[in-house]
Amino acid sequence: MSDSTGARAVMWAYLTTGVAIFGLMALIGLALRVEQAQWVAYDPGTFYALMTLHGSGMVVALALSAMGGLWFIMNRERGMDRTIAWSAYAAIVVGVLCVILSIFPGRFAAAWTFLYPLPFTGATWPSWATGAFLFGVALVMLGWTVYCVQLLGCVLAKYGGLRGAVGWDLVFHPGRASTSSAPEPPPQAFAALVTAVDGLFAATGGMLVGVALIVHWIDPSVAIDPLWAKNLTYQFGHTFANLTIYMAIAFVYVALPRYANRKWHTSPVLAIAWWGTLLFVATAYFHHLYMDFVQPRGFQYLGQVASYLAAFPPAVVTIFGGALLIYRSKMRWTMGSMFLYAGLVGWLIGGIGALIDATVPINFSLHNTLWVPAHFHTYLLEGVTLFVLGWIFANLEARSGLVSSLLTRWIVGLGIFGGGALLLLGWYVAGAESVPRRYAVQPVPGPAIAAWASIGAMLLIAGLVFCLAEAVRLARAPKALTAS
Amino acid sequence: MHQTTVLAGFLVAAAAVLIVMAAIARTTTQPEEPQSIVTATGYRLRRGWLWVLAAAAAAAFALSLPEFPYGKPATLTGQHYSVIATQYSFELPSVVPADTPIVFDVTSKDVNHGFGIYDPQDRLIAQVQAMPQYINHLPLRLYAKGHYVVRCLEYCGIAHAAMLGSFDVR
Amino acid sequence: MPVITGEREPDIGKHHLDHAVLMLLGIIAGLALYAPRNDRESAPWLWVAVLSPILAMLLMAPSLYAATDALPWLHSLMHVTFALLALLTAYGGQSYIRGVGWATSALLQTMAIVAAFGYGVAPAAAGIASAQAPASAPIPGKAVHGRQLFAQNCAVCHGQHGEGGVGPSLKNEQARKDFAEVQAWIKKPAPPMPTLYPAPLNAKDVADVAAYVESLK
Repeated sequence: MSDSTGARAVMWAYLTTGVAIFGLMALIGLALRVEQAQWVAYDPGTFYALMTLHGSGMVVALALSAMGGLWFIMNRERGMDRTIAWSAYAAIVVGVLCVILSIFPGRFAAAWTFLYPLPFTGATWPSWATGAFLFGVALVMLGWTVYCVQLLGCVLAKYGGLRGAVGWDLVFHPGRASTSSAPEPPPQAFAALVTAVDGLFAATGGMLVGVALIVHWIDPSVAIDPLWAKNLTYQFGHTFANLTIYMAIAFVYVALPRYANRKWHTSPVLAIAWWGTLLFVATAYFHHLYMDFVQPRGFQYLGQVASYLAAFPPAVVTIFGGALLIYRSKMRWTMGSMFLYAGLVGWLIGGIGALIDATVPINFSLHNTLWVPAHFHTYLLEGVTLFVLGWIFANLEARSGLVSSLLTRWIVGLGIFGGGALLLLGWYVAGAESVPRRYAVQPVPGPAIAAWASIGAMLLIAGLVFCLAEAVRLARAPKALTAS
Repeated sequence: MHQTTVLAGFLVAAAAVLIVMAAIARTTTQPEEPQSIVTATGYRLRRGWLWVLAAAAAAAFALSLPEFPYGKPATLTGQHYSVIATQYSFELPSVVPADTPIVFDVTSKDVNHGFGIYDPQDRLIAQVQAMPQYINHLPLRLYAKGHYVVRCLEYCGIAHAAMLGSFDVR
Repeated sequence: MPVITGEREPDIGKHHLDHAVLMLLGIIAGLALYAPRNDRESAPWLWVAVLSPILAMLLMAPSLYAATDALPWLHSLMHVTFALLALLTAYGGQSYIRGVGWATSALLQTMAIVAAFGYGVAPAAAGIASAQAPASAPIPGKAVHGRQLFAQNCAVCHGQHGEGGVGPSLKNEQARKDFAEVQAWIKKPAPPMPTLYPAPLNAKDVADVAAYVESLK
């Protein structure tokens, strides 16, 4: 198997597994929303078990997809050991299976947050299910850690250590940078560096709280501080989920310029922007604890500051840069480029919703209402998912030499963007109406809004199905002569 | 901040983003311009955009800081009321005085809960987490008299949605 | 810092920090040791560098640690193990690809320090007195425990005092089901009542809850 074929095998394994899990989780999501619309009825135990699976599964699905594409991109910069990538993949897949088992048949229903002491106290599921879930998440984290270590090693070795990888000389010593033997990192290498460093940072918190909870599961006499556990849970969870966006941005950096027939350069501005992301993504997680008044006051201020500042690099450099890249360009609009560009839009809109909630006095009346799922679904569904789809189509189009018809793009677009907008609006409006999140039975006007949202979800899924069919069509087409 | 205002602001901003990004996408049907020309103007625009964002962020921060709900030590001298959350009920005072500085001392007997106060118009006006082994102090002044509903705002188990309480403000 | 002593450190948090110091020494040693410059990744070293911190955190489990108090030599062995695992974390990372050892070391050291603030350490229960008055009527021994379990697992649907709500009222249930029948129902309920046996209620719990339910008037 040639190097390139082997690398593609890794990428497609990650991508197709991620997409498969995504599809299953999307159906589960629909099941949750229609229950809230009161179109179907099932007991809260089942609802919350499904909700737990949906949350954990979706983030892992998107992470897997983004990881695969980013690995392939960075492998082209510096060849990486495939067995390490496969072992990370294996650890994650086995972890996902453990999580699924904990829920079917275990009926574990503590939500992905497993907020101590909940997995243990008042559990309506057997103890083995708790263990299986914790162990599953630990395995996923192990795979993630291995992946991040490999990615870190790649950028350090290729670009001349940390100094080269962060583009230090590029910003402060341009003369030295141009004469250095180490190559200049392309934009996607910055995405890889930040993913690796902040990813390991997230893994640190996750590993620690994971070990503590597993130890407590084995021996309940081991005390755990609930505030400490909450901090670590969100440090790991927020950062990990947030990084899916920054991994997927590499797809935009690589593929969008090809569609626009332009170049996306590394520049001092780009380097500085990623330094900002490196710092602010790691410190923003405190915004999950605004309503824990016992938190040290400094952390609350830091949370709002970091959350606000985290918006600058995307808004000023990446999204603006993407818009500038295609402005008055000879842009080829295909399914791939449509998704990549739309993802930038979704990211920006989700960011506005997030910044609003990251403002403490507003959070006071929005925290744990449906505004929270509103903003993160915007990021994940109309951001990361679109970047992943864009990358998949960019590859399939290049390989087959074919593109999708305008009609197909309209149908898919109406479903994914139109249906998606309806689904998301449902959450924003319900959140503003103070409907709480994670309610199997919602107070008025939750159910009425959920009905509209469910229609949106169905349109969205229909669009995704069309999209899948189109992807299969392109994949089955013979390889084009011009494809690499 | 009033939720309706927040929602309206968000929708306006989202619409603006959609319009601008769509307009930029449409420029690809116009004659092509070399990248170097585009970036020359674009980078100047970017600097302006940065300053606009920075000013907005600074303003948002300055305006929000006095409204942080944590209270200063002086505000914690109001009348104290205990709130104890358990799976799946709240132990609450039945009446609290209107237009008076009060402090809810909130804790939990078992898992994390959320003490969410809904006013007589069924709007969430205040909340704080209920964490075992800790007491969260929520300083408040409730002006509107009437019946207030309390909902649990932190997932606490399968009966989370049924966990309700209430008190009157007189 | 007690290294070889049979005395139990009363403060677990402080003990974690002692271990963090030990690990720092191991890390310094690991980083200082020569590691070959690698142009090729070495997968075994990656696994050493990633698994060592996890093992160290597991070994820091306070209850496991308490068991070593009785044997000073075992206690010392644990300390040596921590330092060794830290060394492996650092050296392993550097041997995988030079520079990575700093990251894996930072990961381990951060965990070791942060552990001091919550791993085996927690504040006492918050001091808010419950205003709930105790029940005035005497209840049979088993049913006291049953009432606690009822409040945790059943009250949400059947009401705080069995008066009903989402689920039916259980007042005077003894007229409809006897003790054995109530147990059987709890163990094998019909939806929408959730299954609470064998978890969170074991057989004894079920009996206690049934005793309480039978006492409801």
